[in-house]
Amino acid sequence: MFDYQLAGVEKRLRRLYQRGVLYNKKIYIFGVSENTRQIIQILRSYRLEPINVIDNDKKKQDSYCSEIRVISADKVDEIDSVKNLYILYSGYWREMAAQLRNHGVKKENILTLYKKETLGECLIQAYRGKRIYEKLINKYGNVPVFVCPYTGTGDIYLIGTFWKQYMEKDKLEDYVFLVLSKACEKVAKLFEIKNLEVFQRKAESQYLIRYYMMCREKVNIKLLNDSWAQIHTNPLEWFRGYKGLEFTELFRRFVFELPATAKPEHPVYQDAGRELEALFQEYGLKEGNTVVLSPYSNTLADLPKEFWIHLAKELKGKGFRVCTNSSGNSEPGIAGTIPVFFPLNIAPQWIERAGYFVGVRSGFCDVVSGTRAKKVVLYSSQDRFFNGSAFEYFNLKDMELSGDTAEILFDRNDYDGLTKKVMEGLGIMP
Amino acid sequence: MFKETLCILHGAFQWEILKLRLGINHRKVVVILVNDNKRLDYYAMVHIGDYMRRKYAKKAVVLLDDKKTFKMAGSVNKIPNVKIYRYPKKSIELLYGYYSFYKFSDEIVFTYTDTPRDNRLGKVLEETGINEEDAICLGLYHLRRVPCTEGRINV
Repeated sequence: MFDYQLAGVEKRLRRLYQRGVLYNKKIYIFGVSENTRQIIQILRSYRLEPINVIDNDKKKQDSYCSEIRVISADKVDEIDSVKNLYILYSGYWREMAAQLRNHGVKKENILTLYKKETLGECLIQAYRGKRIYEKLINKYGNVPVFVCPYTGTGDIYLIGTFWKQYMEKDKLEDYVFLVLSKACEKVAKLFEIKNLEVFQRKAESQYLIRYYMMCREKVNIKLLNDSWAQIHTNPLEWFRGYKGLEFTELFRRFVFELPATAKPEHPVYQDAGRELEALFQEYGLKEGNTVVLSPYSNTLADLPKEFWIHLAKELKGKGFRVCTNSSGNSEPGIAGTIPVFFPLNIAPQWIERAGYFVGVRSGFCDVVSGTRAKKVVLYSSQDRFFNGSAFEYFNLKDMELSGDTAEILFDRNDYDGLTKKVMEGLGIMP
Repeated sequence: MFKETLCILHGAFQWEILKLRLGINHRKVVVILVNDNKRLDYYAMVHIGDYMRRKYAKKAVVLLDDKKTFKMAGSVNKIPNVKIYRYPKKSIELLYGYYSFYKFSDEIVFTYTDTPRDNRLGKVLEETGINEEDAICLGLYHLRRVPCTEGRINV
């Protein structure tokens, strides 16, 4: 959901919380999605923990969504109990509500937070988008406008790896490249993508896309994604992970229309030696003898803190300096390690200098995938992504981003032995 | 932009009329067969019951312009609550123009493969192992799987 939609949901949940509506309720959220993850975060800020996430997709059942077990509606204990509250935030809310009602759930126990935009709102958005587009054209001239309407740094990195080949294929020299965040801007800078603009607010990308949806033939806007939900007339996302349509393949073929012979190309890293030398000294890190831990992921499953603390202890016992990729309070350093904030435009150089990297699969793994450091990337065996597993869709080897990374699947219920596997993956004898 | 806005409003007006004429509500799904790809239209009819179940709908309306497609749809359909109507191509295009801007209903499916220009369904069917049945079940009906069907015919 967009920032303004998220603010609306937050406000509504806060009111319900203050009125005591959520008190003593067994909360269930319907549908595994990014929206559900955001709602879980809001509920947790009120110290409310949902019991389960419900999903009809059999492939998602028994997996986890923000550490909450995903089950089918049939497995909910006393589904029609008045103590249960079912939260819906999905375009499929009607089917979800109908399903719950068929199970005997009363209307008042279903909380629909989803609010569909009206035609009038969409028209206003399109007119706002027109103003944004005109501003860009006034600044850069009548050039193609590339839009990346997401915050995923991994997506931007993948785009970067094909950018040069795409520019050559379409004989493009001038363009505007729009991103949603400073982090995305930094990743784009790794590839020397020019005319970068960062949206002031996330909703602005929605306005611009809405304008495009109104005047497709008149504007020179291209979305850099295989399929974006706002453009509902392109069903490609529903084939993700099906019959070999994985991440890189979808971008290569459907975003850039490049032949199968086009391979992702990592950027040439700029010399950041001086800067890094000073930083390594400041943090007390040793070149070639430092392990960077990256324990956070926005999309996929995290591992419990205890695992990371144990791993850090083992690594320190072997004489390594250990630091955590930390962006502040929301992603704190693992106890016993040095929290470090890695600016993404020099993150690969950081990791290469450190020598070792261990992370759960996140966009950061894409960014450092081309480094010569020893790398271990962890995937939950229960994580799903559309028609396949997260591992099948996102593994760096099949994405053609790295052939030398040890990619390890972990089972949420069995962390024993994972530390040993990670140490082996790093080439360290346990 | 003024012209586009008018087209959208025209489409919106047409949708309101259609809703009134055919009694369309959230319990009645609408499938519009556009004759871009005959096999796609065929599988849209084969799996219309699955789509109705997915949407918890009791009835369905199928709209199409082409005579042959009308015949095919009639022969494939075995569900009494599915009604098939001829609907002019121009009206379908107008309605889709509106839909391409604003998803006015979650219970409507069009079988266009290359329109508007960001619709990559045609390219998917042409260049990948995904077939028309997959396209209907996963891409358009969002069934999340391809259910087994019996007694298929070749089209």
